[in-house]
Amino acid sequence: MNSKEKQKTYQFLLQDSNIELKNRYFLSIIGTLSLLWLLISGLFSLVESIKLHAPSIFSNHVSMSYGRIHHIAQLSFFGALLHGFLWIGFSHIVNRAQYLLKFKNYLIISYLFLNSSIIIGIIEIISGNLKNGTLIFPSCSLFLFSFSLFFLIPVIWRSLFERKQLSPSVLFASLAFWIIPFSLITMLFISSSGFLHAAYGSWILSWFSHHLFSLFLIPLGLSTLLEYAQRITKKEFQNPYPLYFAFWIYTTANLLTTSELTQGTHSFLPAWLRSINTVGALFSSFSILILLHSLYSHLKPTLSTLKKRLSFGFFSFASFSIALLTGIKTILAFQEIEKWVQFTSVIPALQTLLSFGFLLMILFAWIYEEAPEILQGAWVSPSLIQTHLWLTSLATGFTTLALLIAGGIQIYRHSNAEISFLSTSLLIRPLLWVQSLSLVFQFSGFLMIALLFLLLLLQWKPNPKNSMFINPSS
Amino acid sequence: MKSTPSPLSSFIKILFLIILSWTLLILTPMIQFGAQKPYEEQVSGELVPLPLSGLAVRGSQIYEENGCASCHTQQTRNHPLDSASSYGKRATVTRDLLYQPATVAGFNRWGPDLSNIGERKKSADWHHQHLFSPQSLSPESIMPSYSFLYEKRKIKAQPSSEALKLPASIPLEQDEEVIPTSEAKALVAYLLSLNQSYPLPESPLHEDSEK
Repeated sequence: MNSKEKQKTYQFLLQDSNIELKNRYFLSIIGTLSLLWLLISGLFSLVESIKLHAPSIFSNHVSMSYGRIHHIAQLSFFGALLHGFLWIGFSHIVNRAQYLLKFKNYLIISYLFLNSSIIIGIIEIISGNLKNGTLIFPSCSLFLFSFSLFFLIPVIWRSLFERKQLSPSVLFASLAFWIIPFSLITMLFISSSGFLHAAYGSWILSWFSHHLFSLFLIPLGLSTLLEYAQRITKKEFQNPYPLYFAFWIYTTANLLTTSELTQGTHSFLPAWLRSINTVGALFSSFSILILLHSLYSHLKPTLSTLKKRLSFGFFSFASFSIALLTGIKTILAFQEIEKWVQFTSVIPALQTLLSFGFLLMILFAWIYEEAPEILQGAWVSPSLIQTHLWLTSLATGFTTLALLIAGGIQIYRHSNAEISFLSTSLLIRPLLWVQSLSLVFQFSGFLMIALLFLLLLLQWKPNPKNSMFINPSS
Repeated sequence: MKSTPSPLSSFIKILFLIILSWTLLILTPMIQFGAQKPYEEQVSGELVPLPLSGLAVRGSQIYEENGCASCHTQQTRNHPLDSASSYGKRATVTRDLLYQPATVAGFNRWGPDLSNIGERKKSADWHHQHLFSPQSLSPESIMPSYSFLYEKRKIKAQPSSEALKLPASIPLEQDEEVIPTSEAKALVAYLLSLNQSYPLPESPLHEDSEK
């Protein structure tokens, strides 16, 4: 078999537009909600940032305390990512399995419950009940369970009977749907049982957070990189085996470790777990590097033509961010190095790189790529998309750099007993201004994409073929 | 010839990994730490850590409600960065959290670590003034004011014994005083309860702090 025969055409492109059109009501609702939560998150992040520079502002309003605003911004950002990445996940699986969403009533009720719980969560945070603000987790669990049960299992079952293969990207995407309900239920069971609640609380939260990012958002993001590369080149990966290999290393490494740099709970972990974490983090990074290498090899012959594509800038930035993040995480996997950066601004810098540089860029790339197809319209202003790319890239780049520099200053000065904590805070304050300015850029970008999406929705044309939920057999 | 993974085998492998993960990462540490009890200190014979008072428990809720853990950690390590900052006299361990009603270990230090703040700052007045107006004590501080935990009111017959002793730099109207609400008192009681100055078998005091 020669290489041309091996490299299959991305066949389902010829059919998926129908599949996507038939699911377009559902997908466009998820997309709209994602952007709505993103705007809310951006707004609260701006208020949070203002309070950092003007501590006395709103100081008489209990509901506007820094800690509460911070949590609202985080919860709504989570809402945006959850909706956006569910859209992405559905698209991959729907396309690959040529499967239409079914059980509409159950799914819609689950969706309403999920969104209501985010709203209730925000109201609870404002009223001071931060602990119960996590009501989102049970509803998220129910929601993902419903999809696992009524969507993913039928898809896999169907593939099984028809002896279809699972592509590496679907493997990555499906991982999320299996893992998250399990980790959520585990977390809830342990929290509610009261067993070691206090001592273990932060570690269990860390475990949850680890799964949320490492086994839900990041795999879906990686899956999108793979799917996107095949979609825009109109070719399957010539050699998918390194990707299968990467998938199993990634899954094993992340399931058997709790390493999550965004949480500072390592102090409480047993020593043997910390050692496993180091090995796991190294393997996880290795798997992502294999994946990125395959991706680059696949795209290399067509790179010059792809640059003209509107979504390609976002896609490239996301790839660069995950590569950089992987590199840094590989270095920080060693406990002795990690201890130096723990609790410093390096951690928020890595969070920025992951959340804004990778996840959000993937979401934007997918919206710019997919939305015109499912909504059967065209972007009103390509130049506004270019502006959005510049704004969001600069915002992410500046924030990451400023926080990394601030982290470096903190490490240097905090290791000197003669330098006071407050003088260091004063020194890094200008870097926090950079972060605030970047947030303004970022929020402007959110407004742009929301406006563009709204204008696209206004072009909505009735589609005679459309039917929100159709059984494939019908 | 290589074969791509079938959906069934992938499903079984992932399920196996999930079960292994749960056993290894949840069940095993639970068995390891589940039986932890207070430690009887050799010098005083006191059981440590001490249970929190009712007011301090309420204070921990206020601490959690207002997201204090977004900027402050409550965990120190055996590391030069923590020793140089003199946050605590030893590393924080799971036994320290035995009676903590909420987990607020934190992961960011925009502000200093608070695991031993009750030992470092023993005055309730200091904490009240700091919460009401952080910049009046530390002009460089970026900590937001928690003045909503305090009530400004006109002095009635004579100043209240609970009124904050504020410096002249904090502008108040004539005949006005600032009284801590029950939430403020609870929060300060909680902060004062954060004390890790006693040794534990798994976490002895640093050598320089014992001298």
